[in-house]
Amino acid sequence: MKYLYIIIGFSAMALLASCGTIATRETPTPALDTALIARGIEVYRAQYCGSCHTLTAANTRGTFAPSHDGMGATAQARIASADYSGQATTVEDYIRESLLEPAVYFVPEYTITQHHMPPYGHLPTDDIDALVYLLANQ
Amino acid sequence: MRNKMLFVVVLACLLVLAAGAAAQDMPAPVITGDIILEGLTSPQGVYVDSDGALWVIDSGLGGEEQVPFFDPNTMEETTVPFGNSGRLLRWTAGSDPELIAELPSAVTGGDFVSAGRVIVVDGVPYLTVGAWIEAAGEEVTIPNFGNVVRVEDGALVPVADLWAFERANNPDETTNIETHPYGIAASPDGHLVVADAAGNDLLHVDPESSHVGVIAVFDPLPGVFPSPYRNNELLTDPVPTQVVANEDGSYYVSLLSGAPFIPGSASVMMVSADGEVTPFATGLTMLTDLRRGPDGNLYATSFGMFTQDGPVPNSGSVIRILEDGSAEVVVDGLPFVTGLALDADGGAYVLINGLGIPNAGAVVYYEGLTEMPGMPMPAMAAP
Repeated sequence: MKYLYIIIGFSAMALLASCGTIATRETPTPALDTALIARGIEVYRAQYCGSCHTLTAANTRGTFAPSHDGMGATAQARIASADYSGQATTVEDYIRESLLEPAVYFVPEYTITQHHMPPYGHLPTDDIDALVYLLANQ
Repeated sequence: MRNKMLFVVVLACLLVLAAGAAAQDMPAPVITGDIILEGLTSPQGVYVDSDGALWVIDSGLGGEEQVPFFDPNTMEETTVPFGNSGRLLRWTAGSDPELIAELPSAVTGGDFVSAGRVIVVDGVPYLTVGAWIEAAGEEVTIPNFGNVVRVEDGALVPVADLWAFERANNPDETTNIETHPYGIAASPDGHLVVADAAGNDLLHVDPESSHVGVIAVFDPLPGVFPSPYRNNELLTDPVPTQVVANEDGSYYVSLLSGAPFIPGSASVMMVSADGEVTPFATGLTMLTDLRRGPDGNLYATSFGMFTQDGPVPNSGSVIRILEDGSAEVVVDGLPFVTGLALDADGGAYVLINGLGIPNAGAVVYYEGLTEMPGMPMPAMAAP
């Protein structure tokens, strides 16, 4: 599918070039909400997520649990994996599910360990939202 | 070591392969003592007997056999590697370590689990062995796990079944039925006293009758996430790791504190002869062992610091706890300290790298440790 998009893109550019008027219409990338990222890091650290997880953006180096660096792509891959047992269909939903119902799905390398992820349903919704935003944008 | 350390560390629970991987990336520690034994895997227990001989527990690397086990998370039946690769070693200066007994060793989720502690009473070694949790199955499938045993002619002989006791009594009244017999001491009345790191209690064990009784149960500590075993309150487990018996029938007990091991949340508790628990030394961090020195002071080991940044490299230490309950650092900069034993001259044998890095564990000797000057405790946020 990715190649199809590339082909379409090239075709469109070729068409515009042939008209002699190349319009530089870039797909707008949503600007990161830096305030929400900062709030996410604040919550992440206050909850001692770094005891178990590495997240470079938050300057943490825990290794009991999976790394959160590159979490957006990781979440996408896990949703698509055959062993995924949760209900999420988007990166954001996957992260939210992992925070609120971590027992729904255990990353294969971390199943039998007793050092498992606790649920964070006690956090205010705003804090959960900030964590989801932070991690989805890694 | 579950919420009992939800990441518990304990112990075995403390000793995680993943953490081990991280440790391998950490800067090398500066060890000022003498390394007298190395190549150990997840060493947990160390003891100096009345003859001055050193006893050490090496957790081993599991083995070729696969034994039934229930995944505590998924509840699916699985197997874990098992073998008698754990070792009880006895060492005297100038000689090679002597293998006293092979010990059961299992690999559960990256933890190398074997015996916890050893003491020698009237020439007989007693050990705390393994751990068990109800979610792994009602019946223990790994030999001697969840037991106190003694060693006779190289064989392990069960003394008391603490898993059966936990199942029948669950003294801490949480919804997590789990035992991890860990700290052990001989009481003045000739019995054994065991700190159950997952049961969160202090138990009295009669080595003759195998009778087990509760001396004290430790209250949970403030936590930062809900404990599913404590009505989802923001609590964490105390995780008792070692006990020192006093002549008057009271005890000192070190607490590791459960995940996330907030610096300053560990302590030494005083348990009176009638079981009343009161704080003795507070504001400490991840205590894994506790001993009385020949100078009369208590000495404890701190596994390391887990801050908001995660594990701090080489942040383990040996601390001295004075009569008034204040503490000072004696040796710092150590990697993942799990045990301590003091000889009659005040020298200390300290276990380092007591986590899941195969063959990385060692015993370091500090001559005259009790005479070393104390340094201020590191500043830390209040738990």
